[in-house]
Amino acid sequence: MSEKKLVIDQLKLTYEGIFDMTGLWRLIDSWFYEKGYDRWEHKNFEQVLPTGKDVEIELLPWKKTTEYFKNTIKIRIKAVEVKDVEIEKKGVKLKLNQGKLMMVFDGYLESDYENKWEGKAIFFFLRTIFDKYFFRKHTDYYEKWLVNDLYDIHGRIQRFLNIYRYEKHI
Amino acid sequence: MMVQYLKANRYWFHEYKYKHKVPSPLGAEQEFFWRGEKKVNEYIQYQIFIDIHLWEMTEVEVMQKGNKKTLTNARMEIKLRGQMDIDYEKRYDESTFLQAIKDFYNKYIAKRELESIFWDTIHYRCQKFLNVIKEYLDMQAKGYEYRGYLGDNV
Repeated sequence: MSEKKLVIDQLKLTYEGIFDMTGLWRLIDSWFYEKGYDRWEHKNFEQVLPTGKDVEIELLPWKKTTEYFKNTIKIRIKAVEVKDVEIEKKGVKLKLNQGKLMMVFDGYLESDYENKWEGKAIFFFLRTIFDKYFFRKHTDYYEKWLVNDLYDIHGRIQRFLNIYRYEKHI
Repeated sequence: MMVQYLKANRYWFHEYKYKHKVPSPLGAEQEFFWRGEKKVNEYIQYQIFIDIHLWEMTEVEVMQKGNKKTLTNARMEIKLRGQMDIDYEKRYDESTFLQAIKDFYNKYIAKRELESIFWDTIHYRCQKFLNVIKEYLDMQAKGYEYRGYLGDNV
């Protein structure tokens, strides 16, 4: 088994009010496309209730940064009481949604994802030693890459929802 | 719609299992197990498995654009699974020597091609298919930004 390190644990975002659900989805999808992540939509659940729609989504896109490291981002989205609303902005009628939105982000750095260094006990031992002592900087670099990616998507969603207007530089 | 999508992409459609349970007062329960199959060449084959489970199925009449329509009201779960079969005709399984050649070919010669062309094609075909289903059901999280990946518009 390859080694999976949890680099970002449960970065959360909550929002209540008017938003564009389809627009938010497109923003997330296009961000992963732009950054070269492979797409994996693990779950997409929707239930129509008298109070509105309940939506649950789980995304697990990944990116093979090298032949040894792989970034995996897990995004869990839960939207409750989502209703369609129509608002007028600058004389134009817009179809938007209203509801409560909760998002949780996790970032995993997977090393030796092809299990090349696990065939023999000596390989495994060497891998651990090299990872911990010789390639420490190398591992840190890929961890930072993942952290940066995660904060970038988090910030973009915040700006999309108009919660936070300025770009963050991590 | 789902069968049409598979046929448009030249997949053979099979319904290999169908279950219908005795309806309860809440409605009927049905399960469908479908498979789409496409032979890419003599060595590789794609398969898409579609498992549909419906609970509490009842028929409802709705008015849509002035017309009466009979639709189904239910809870539904759809599972999609894409599979790439290497040496699906089992030509290289006849002897240990042939198996070793196959392993060497897959691991060292055709590794990149298998991973980045064939594997990607079936993976993104499933993702695109998923979006077609979401658009049909008019779900909130619909839209697909990877549409140019496969270089087609089906």
